[in-house]
Amino acid sequence: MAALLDEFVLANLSSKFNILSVERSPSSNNILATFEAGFINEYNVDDQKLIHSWPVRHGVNVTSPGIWCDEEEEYICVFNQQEIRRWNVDDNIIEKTRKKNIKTDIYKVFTTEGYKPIVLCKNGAAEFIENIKSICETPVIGSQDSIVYADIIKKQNGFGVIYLVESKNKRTLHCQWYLDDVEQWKHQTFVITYQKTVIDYCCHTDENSNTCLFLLGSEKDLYRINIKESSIEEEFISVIHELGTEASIVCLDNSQIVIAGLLKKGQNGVGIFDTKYCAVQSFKPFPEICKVVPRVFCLNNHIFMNCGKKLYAFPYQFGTSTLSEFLGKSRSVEDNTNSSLHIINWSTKLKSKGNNTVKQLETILNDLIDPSKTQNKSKFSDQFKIFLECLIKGNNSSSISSLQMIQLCQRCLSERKFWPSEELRQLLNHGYISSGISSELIEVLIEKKENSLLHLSLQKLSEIPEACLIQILQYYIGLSDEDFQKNLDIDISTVIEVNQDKCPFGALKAHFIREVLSQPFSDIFLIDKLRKLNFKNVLSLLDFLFYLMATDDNQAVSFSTRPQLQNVIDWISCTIDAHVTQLILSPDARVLLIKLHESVSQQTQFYDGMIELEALLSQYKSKLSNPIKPKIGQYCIEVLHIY
Amino acid sequence: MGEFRVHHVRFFEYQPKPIHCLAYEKKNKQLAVSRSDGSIEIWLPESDWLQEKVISGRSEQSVEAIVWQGKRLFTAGLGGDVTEHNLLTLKPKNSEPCNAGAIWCLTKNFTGTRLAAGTEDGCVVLFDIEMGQLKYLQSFGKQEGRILSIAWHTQEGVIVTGGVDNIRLWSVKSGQAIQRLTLGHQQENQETIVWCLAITSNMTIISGDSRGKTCFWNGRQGTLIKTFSSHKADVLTLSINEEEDCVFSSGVDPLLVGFEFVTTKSGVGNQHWVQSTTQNIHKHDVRAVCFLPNCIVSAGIGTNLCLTQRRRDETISKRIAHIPQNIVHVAKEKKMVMLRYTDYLEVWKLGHTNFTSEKDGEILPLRSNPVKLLQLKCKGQAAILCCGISNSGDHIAYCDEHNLRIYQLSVDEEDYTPKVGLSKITMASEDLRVPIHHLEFTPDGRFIVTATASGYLQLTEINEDRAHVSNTFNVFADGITMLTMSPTGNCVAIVSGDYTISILNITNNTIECNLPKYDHPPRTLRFSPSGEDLVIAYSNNMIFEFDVDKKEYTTWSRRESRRFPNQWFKRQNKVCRITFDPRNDDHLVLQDNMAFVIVDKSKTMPEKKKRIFDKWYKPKKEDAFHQCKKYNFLMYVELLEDDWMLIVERTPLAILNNLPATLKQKKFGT
Repeated sequence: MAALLDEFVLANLSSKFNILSVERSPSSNNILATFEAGFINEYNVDDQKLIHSWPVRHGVNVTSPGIWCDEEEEYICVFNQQEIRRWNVDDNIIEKTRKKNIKTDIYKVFTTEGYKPIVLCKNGAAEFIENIKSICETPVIGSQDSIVYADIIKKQNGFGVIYLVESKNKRTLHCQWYLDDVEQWKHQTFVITYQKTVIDYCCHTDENSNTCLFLLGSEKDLYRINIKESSIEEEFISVIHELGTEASIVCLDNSQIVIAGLLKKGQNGVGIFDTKYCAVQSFKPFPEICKVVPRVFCLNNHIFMNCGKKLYAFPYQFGTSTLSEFLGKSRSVEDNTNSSLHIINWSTKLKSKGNNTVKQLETILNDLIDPSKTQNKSKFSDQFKIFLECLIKGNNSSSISSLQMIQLCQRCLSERKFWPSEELRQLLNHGYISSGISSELIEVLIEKKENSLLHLSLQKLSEIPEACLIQILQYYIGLSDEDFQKNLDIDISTVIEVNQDKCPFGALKAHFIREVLSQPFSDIFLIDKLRKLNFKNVLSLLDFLFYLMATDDNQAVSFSTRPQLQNVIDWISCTIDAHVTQLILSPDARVLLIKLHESVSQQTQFYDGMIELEALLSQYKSKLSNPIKPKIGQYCIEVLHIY
Repeated sequence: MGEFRVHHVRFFEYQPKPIHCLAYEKKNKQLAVSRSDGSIEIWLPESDWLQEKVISGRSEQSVEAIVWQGKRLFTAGLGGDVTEHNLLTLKPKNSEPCNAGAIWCLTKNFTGTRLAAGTEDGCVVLFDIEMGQLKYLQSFGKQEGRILSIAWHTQEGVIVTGGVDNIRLWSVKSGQAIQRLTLGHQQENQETIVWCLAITSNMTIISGDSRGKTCFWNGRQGTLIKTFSSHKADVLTLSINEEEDCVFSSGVDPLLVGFEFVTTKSGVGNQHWVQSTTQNIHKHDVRAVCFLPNCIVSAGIGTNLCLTQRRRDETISKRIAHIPQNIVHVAKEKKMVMLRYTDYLEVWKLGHTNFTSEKDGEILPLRSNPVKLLQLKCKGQAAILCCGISNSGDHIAYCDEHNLRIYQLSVDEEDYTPKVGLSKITMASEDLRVPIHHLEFTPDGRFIVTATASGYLQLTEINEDRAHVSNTFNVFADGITMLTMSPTGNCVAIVSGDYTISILNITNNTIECNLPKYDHPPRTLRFSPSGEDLVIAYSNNMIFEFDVDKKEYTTWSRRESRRFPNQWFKRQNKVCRITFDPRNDDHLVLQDNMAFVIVDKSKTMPEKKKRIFDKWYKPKKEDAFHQCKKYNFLMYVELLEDDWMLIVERTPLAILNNLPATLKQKKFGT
């Protein structure tokens, strides 16, 4: 797989210049960079040195970037769309070099190995530079059409100039093939079905003359056109989720493209996108903040782009992509289709009464989710009541997908005008809130200080992430005992009395925290998240856990109460592991740690004794258990005691 | 002392045969039972169901009907012959063909002078059995279809036969059918077979047919009085009591259904046959039902006799499971066991272990597994009447109806797999009396003592590869029913046909003594290991010990024999085998079908009323009785040397698994 290496500054520019192109130069270590503002510079990439610079006179626009032609051994450039300039290394002033004017606007001049420079005019005419004058006035494309992209592709028996033409509602690909055997040009036109707006194009031809033209759409979609002798194949590759609003692309090969303008972890940067596995590999953030996404160019195993006042070069390593490298990198598939709120009726009967209920459900759900239709609390509550009634009766709950319920929950949580606590309670009680939205729910409940709803969520939701558990713990520990008394909505009889002298929390607070401690967790993730708990809360939590573990109070931990002793010990272990350094260093924790140590030693002794007892009991069991009649078979010798 | 290492043998695949017919002789109080292999057993119900004699069957002979006439026993079968059996010699005495194909049923007249047989050809054939003869008399007119059931009216003049779709009344005088009763069909095109018949003195005919119905007919008018759909399948057998007011029927549906002739109101006209009782004792088809004076006996495919008695308004049923004696023999010196099947023998070498254990019930790891050394088939597929193996295991002998065959057995155990050699010993003497019903080797193995049922006792000497009769004793006119050899080798004890027990000295050819006669016939007897005492177990479980030298009962026996607890005599299963503990002369091991009891003669007898065999009774070491009920269907218990014991067991389940399938009936939950 290709990997971007650390960038380096190729050139410092005096002001912000937009680079037009980076092309080959006579030496393989050098590049020829053409800047919009009127510079054509040749740089040595390895030495990061400017070798040559050809300034362009003020008022002259470089419309086709400078290129080197091996065949003619000269540089070529187009000024002001109709003036072709040709010079060689020794020439320092471009204005004094050979020029050629043609009557038609030139789109671009191309060079390819073994051939003289080829001129592509904006009217679609393409011809060698010597002959361009003769045909340049013969238009190939219409006056309304414009070339948006063009490139030259090398073939076995010639070459081709391909250019994409866009008109009002149409996009066509024109191929001007030059065949060596007949020394003639052949023109082909293909209609491109892809009609969406394209941000950028790039093209690549491999050693086997397979040509791919990539189109990067404005909707983050990547499209590929395989260009063959007499046909094209269009295919949609993937949606690039990491793409920003602007981007530019360049091909590394037929399956890997460099994209500048990727957004990852809030940073803009450049990365290599693998079209085979549809994932971004090797991302590098832009070295400087760029307001406009810079164009990227690829040459001599380097990616070039100007960022700010510098021209950067990113060397890259090339390699074959393998699946193992992409595992875990591709984002989960998002449903691009309009996630409609259409409720499916699972009834097998064509006409059934259920159909009406389902339609009603759909309507009510749409109203509930759309803030404009249920703007105030009373409307929302009324609709919700009807919705819930419809849902509960007649097994309609199977018609509703979790996606739709998540949207409803999100509406409840994001609603600022009123707080639908009762509705959330109903949803929790009936189990209509999926675990996927638990993080968001808990965050909002903590924000709203809804203790009873939090408590209910812990009871009703499954697979609460450890991060949320720690959030809740943090929140609970931060509250005072009186805070729990407000809006108390739990059965007091379930609250276990605590020993006020030993327990650091009040009964209610302890009850709420017990619920958190009773939730299942993975210790690896929990330790990670526990580190975010502040130290003061850690000490309080440890104190409480110690109380749960070590107190003689029968109510503290027994088989019927939650959390179980094993849970408590796991929590203690994880908490200590997460803050071991702090606990060792802090003098406040000393007493607590000593008490914990003593308690654990006692418990260990006790359980060792229990293990011995277990062995004894199993011996008794085997001695005194009901005898099982042994299978004798046809013959045996057995012991018989008669008296 | 009560610890043993037991060779627990279950590889003896003994399979009792299904019972076909029952016939009870009121005067002699004997019950004849025929089985599917043609054998006939004579049981004494009054003597606690002692099986007195067995007439062995032949493969070509089947018994479809048995009739007693006084002490004479007649059978008939599919061979087409009516056979009279000699109950002394246990051989057929006389045989007369019916000339009408197979005989399906047989009956006799009231006076006992005639037999009537129902045949395959549809004829009723009469036989004259007056004056001790058995002669073909006459044949009635032929009818369509076979005659499957027959009954003779007490007034001599009428015979009722049942066949396919009909019951006919025949005039004995004219030999013609005088009435025909037609039965209905259960299903169209399905014939109704009358499997069994009875007739009362008032000409009420009772029939059991393939529809599962028991019908009562007015024989005079030829009309049907009443039909009872008593069974779900064919009614194969029915029996009427002497008073002619109770009938029991059964069949493929093994329910035993009783009918009674009751009077509803005063007056003759208000008497009806009603269905009274239903007993569910059997699991398999019931082939025969018979009234005894105080109970009803039923038997069939299930192989056991079942008794049904009414006591104080409740009906009690019990099963008489009989394990035949003398089918397992052991050669103690070589630890070999011989198993006798119907027509072949197996000789096995028992396994061995060096391990011991203190834990009761523990199965010890085997050092060597039991090995089947020999399977010896009887020539001509004849039934083996008796067999024996010498103590040293060098000789085996068996007897069929015509021959005594003796073989020399050699077992080379040096290799991992023992090599077995068998060589026949030629029987040189023509004096040998056959068939032999009892056979015993002397302790040294040089002689074989044989006894025929007719009363001949012979001593056969074995000299290497030849054997000859060295002595013949013919002193038992009533026949010999039991024989046992003294360990000293010079005495045998014999039970004759009149239940006299005699001790015979075979060395000097004299009768040492006759034991005092007891009210009940002996069930089994055996000499003690020293040969000084003879222990006898009678049919009522009375145990006597006789001092052979002193020719009187031993002191212990005089003192204790009648002091056994009452519960001992009331045990359902009676002692069928006696063995002795080699480690303790005072120990008697008494085996019945379901348990064995060690009687310690040195201990005091418990009180007579003490219930020492109850489940909840906890035996103590000082008790005189120690019971072991661990094994079901004990076929053989023998104490070998030291603490070794051989127990041959055949579980009821194993026997049941080999029986044919029962009638499928819908049961709750299935």
